[in-house]
Parts: sequence; structure tokens; C-alpha cells
Amino acid sequence: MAGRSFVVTSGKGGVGKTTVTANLGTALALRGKRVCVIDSDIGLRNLDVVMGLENRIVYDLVDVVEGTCRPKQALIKHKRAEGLFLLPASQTRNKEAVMPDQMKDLIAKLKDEEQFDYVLIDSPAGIERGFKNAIAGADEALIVTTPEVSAIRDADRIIGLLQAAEMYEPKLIINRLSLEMVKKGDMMDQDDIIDILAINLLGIIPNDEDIVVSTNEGVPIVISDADNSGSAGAFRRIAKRIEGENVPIWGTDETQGLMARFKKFFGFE
Amino acid sequence: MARKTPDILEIKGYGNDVNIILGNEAVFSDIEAELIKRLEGSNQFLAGVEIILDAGDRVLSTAECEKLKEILGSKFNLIISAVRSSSDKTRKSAEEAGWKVESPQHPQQKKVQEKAEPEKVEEVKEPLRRESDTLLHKDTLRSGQGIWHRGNIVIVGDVNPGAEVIATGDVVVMGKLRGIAHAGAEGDTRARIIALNLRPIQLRIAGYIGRSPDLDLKTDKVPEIAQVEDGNIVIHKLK
Repeated sequence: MAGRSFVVTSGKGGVGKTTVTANLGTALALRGKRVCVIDSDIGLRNLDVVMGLENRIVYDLVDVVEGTCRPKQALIKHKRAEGLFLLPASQTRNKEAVMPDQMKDLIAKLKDEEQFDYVLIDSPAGIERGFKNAIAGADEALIVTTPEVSAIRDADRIIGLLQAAEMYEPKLIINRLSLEMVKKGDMMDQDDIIDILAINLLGIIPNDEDIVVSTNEGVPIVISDADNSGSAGAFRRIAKRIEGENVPIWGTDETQGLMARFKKFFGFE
Repeated sequence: MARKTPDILEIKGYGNDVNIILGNEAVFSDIEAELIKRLEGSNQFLAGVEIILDAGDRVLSTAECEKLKEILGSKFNLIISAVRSSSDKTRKSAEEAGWKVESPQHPQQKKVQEKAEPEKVEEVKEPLRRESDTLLHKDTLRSGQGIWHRGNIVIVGDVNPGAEVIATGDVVVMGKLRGIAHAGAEGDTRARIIALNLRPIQLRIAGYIGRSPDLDLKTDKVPEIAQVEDGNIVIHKLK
């Protein structure tokens, strides 16, 4: 089976694209797949930092598209997840160093020659060249948003731009949802968000302070946290869904269970 | 008069009118290319506004004026209300191209003049053929997307926040209207906006603008109609 390529994008910055890319890529690799994560944020790279691979970078994305090295030479193997590779961005160049067609060729090569099952492209914020590069080689799109009007507005814009680029069925990942705040009516819930964006929901990642720790340590939380109740579990379930398994989405079926737990915690039941 | 002009050109809005300012030093072919690029990017949202071509100190030949007219008029359907220039030669070329000319003038002064006669403008524009040409759009408009149409627009889908619908006639949204709708964009005050769920950021009918209340009080989801009554945009339940 030919590999699948996904762009992880959002429009707005700071909603968790890089964290989602790192953890989803790792979760898929831990399921025994060959996964390549690409940092397409040339000039502002940080996927390498989040994955703890910064000190191993020799060649980068720009070197590969310019032919300075072969793709294989630039790929960095992850130390703790078999089958997971990172193609880092260049930090000293800018987005104009790469053309959308070059990205297309590169990703086709990664799927065919390097036999990757999944290629995840971490998109930069914005809708300019960097975004166009990021979506050029992607078969499918994952939209990351947080439950904030500004992030949702930008996600909506991105969905429109993806449609214009003939990617009609992006899937939604809602990041940093706080069930507690939703319950109090202080935060939009998934229904409010889907009401506006009208696309399929792939998963909900709960607001999780442990993510900050894992990001700073450079170890994706799906490696360090075996518990399935927090964000690590949410990432693992999204990975399962991408592979075609039917698992309930946090916040729908499981909300009931969590709600009950919250109620118990606060002594209502 | 020495003043700063843009490198190639600039499109600026002053009150109700839009100025296209040409750079004094720019090569004409650059101006052409930039103008097409900018106007394509603006999705023809300059509908129904007065456009003033500000040539500054630049000398435009008759051929160049004809070329600009071709781009603005035929390609983008825009009407130049006046050409502003300090050069006699440019003014002559503009007149030959069939444009009204004026001497350089501060935009502020222009605005004051306009305020004195807003209703006259509306009278001149009426009556429009409101029943003609209806555009049916069968998709949701997302943030950053927009439709402009000379006639009525019917949208089967939602209009999301950040999206715009501009029609010279009526706007009907068979879904949620949460973006911006402008009916009667060329001055027809009888134009109406109808939506199954009317929760726009802004409604515009002809020259009237209504914005959403800062506090979102509305909870009922019934079809509603917005129209101009006694100089205000009023919303009623659709019967």
C-alpha cells in the first residue's frame, strides 16, 4: 500500500501544530509504522526541539530540495521510537528557499523510495508560501484548533484555502479542551466548534499540563506517559482512527465517564 | 507639491470612496501588473464605491489612460468617478479617455462635500432592476471568502464570520449568516437581507450599516429579514 501524507495546519500560531505532529507521528511509529515527520517551518524550526533531536541535525529540508544531499542523509532516526524519522527545517534560510513543486516531489520520493507509511508535514502558521509549501505534497489535511474564536476563525479560513487547493475533506483536531471550563460554560465545546467549521472531527486533546513538561524535555508524551486518560491517550486514539479503527472520541462517549468522575470528585454523587 | 507617493501603486479607502494612487516614479507596465494583481486579490469588493484615480505628479499619456480604463472598466467592472492629477497633460489625457478630472485636493475636503448630498446619490441610482440576475451559490462561505454579484445572491449554505456577500440586489442565505452581508451595494435602499439564522457581524444595505449587538442576546433560530425603514436597518421575523 502506498504511504499517506498529512499536513498538520491551523492558520493561527501557537495552537499546537508541532506538538500534534510530534505526538501523532510518534504514536503511529509506536504502532509499528514507518513514519516521517517533516518540519516545513523554514527559518523557525522547532519540531526537532520538541522531539529531542536538535543535536543530531546535519542536513535539512533545504539541503534535500537543493540536491546537496539525498533524503536519506537528512533523515534523523528517533532514538526511542522505531521507524520514526524527522526531516528538519533549515534555520538559516527562509520559506522562499523551497517551492511547492519541490515539496511535492520530495514527499512522493519519501513515500516511494524510503517506503514511509505516513508522512506528517508540520505547517508553519500563516497562509503564505510556507503554508503553500506545506500543503503541496499532502494527500490529506489535519486542522488543529483550540476552543478560541480567533483560532476557529483562522481554521475556517484555512479550510477554505484547502478547498481552493482541492483538498476537500480536512479533519479536525481540537486541542486543549478543558472539560471543566466547558462544563461551567466558560469555553466553547466541540459542538460549537463543529457548528462553524462543519468538518469531521478526528479527535479532541484535553488540556494537559504534562504536555509542557514533555515538550521541554524533548520527549513526546506518547512515549513518556502510558496512561490513556490524558493527552497521550488522546493522541494514541487519533493514531488508531487514522489507521481506520473505530474508537470513541474523547468528549463524546468518554465525556460521560469523565463527567461522572468530575461529579464524584466534587462530591455531587 | 512634493509629497510621498507609493513605489508602484496603492489602493486606499477614504470614507466612502476608494483612491487608487499611482507612484510618480513607477514604470507603467509595473503599475498595470500590480493593479491587476491587487484587484484580483480584492475579489471585486470595490463594488458600488466611488473610485478616484490619483495620478499625483505623474504624466499619463492618452494611450496609458485608455489602458487603465481597459483594465478597470472591462476587466474588473469598476467605474472611475474622477481622475486627480497635478499635471495638465495627464488631465487632458484623462479627459480624452472620457474621465472626469479634478485637481489635487485633500481627501478630507472631498468627504465634507459628499456629506452634504448623500440622498441625492441614492436617488440617482434608483430604480435598479432588482428582479434580474440571481446568483445561486451552493456552498458555505468561509472566512476570507466572498461573493460579489450584480443582482441578487442566494446562498445555500452558511456565511461564516470573516466571509462577505455583496450584491446590488437582495441577499438570501439559506443557512446561518454570521459574516458580513451587503445588499443594494450600488445604492438600492429597497434591497433586503434574508437568512434562516441571521447573526451577522455586520449588515449593510445601500449606504446604511448595522452592526451586531456587542452582547449576543439572540437565541431564537427563526428566519429573519433585514430592510431599511426610516433610515435604519430593521430586522423582522420572516412570515
